[in-house]
Amino acid sequence: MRLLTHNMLSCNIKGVANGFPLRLEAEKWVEKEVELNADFLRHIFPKIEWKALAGAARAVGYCELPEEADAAMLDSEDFLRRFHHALLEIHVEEGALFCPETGRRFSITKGIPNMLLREDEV
Amino acid sequence: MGSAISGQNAKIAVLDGNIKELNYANCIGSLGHRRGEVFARDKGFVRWGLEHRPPVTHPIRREMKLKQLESLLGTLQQFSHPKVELEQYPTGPHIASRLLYTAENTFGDINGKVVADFGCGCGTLGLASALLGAEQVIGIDIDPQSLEIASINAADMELDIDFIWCDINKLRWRDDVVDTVVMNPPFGTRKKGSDMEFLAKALKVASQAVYSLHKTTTRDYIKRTAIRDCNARSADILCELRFDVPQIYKFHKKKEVNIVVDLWRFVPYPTEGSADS
Ligand SMILES: C[S@@+](CC[C@H](N)C(=O)[O-])C[C@H]1O[C@@H](n2cnc3c(N)ncnc32)[C@H](O)[C@@H]1O
Repeated sequence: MRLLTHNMLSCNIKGVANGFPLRLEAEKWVEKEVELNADFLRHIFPKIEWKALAGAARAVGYCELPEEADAAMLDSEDFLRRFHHALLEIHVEEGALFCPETGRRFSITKGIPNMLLREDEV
Repeated sequence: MGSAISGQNAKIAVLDGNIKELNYANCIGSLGHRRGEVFARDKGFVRWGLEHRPPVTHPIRREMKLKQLESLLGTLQQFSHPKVELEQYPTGPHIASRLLYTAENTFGDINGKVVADFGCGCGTLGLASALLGAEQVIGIDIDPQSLEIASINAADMELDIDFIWCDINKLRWRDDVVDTVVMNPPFGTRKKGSDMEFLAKALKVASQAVYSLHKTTTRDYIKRTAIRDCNARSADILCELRFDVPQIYKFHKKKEVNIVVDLWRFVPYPTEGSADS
């Protein structure tokens, strides 16, 4: 699971009010280089919840993202590189997603988060 | 509908609701057989979209030809023990390659985009998207065995795509982060209405387009429901094709059942405020 995917996922238990972001608890992750596509980064930037991304990046030990970001920063190559790395080059392999609101923990195994609900949760 | 496409170049065969009689004859009359699936062989039809390559950014993927895509998809491992209740049958390489090729070359909906594959099964549609240069692909399925096969397929092709183990009906995503959804949903032969549940969710999360296959017998219903209830701004049929579904009911004597399906392209309205789905 990449952090872009994390940035979309909400807790899906019935009755949850917000459910976003899920706190990333990473046990194992890998980094894989991919070609940087600046156009894509500009396209996706306004859709990203920055605090959630920065928090998830910290959970995998990557602390190079600023606390806050605005579109003007997209002119900086250095910023683009960091944004790109956090969003697309980190793959969480093992761990969990924790919902502070409900206390529900969704496990991540072999890179795949298990968002399946039990019967009493739907 | 249809006008947006035929306006670009009339060579692309489009089955417009208004001219369906004409095109039906064209398509159905020339359906050719293949193992696993049958597809219209009409010349203009098979070539749809090929003339309109928008500039693609990825240097490697620019070279991906339709034939190449089809043969790569043909190497994928498919359901080893298909689960009837989940309507598990793969989209064959012929249909899958054309679906994605059109999405990219005619509409520019794949390269450099975030693409979700709903009910990804063994990953055919998602992997095809990745091969055509999708920046990020996310496959979702309710069945862990399928996801495992899909992961192996991705690794074999050295493609990195994300998977989520989830029931599409229970998926909760922030809207509009995904650009395009591609899917071959359960037709609802086992669980009535499941294709519409997939469609409603897809139109909710996608910001650009949804590609989907639905039974032709439900055509009018799909169009009406998509526009009235599911947030679709437009609903166009790109082509009609035959889909061989493995025999799933005991009373069917034949080994495979031929279903006529439509390939649709839906365009969603932007969601206000882009909150949760
Ligand atoms: C017709 S198959 C298509 C498989 C694959 N997308 C392809 O094109 O080859 C439908 C897929 O939807 C999955 N599915 C069925 N119901 C589902 C649900 N409620 N949530 C998520 N996936 C589901 C099945 O496990 C199956 O893999």
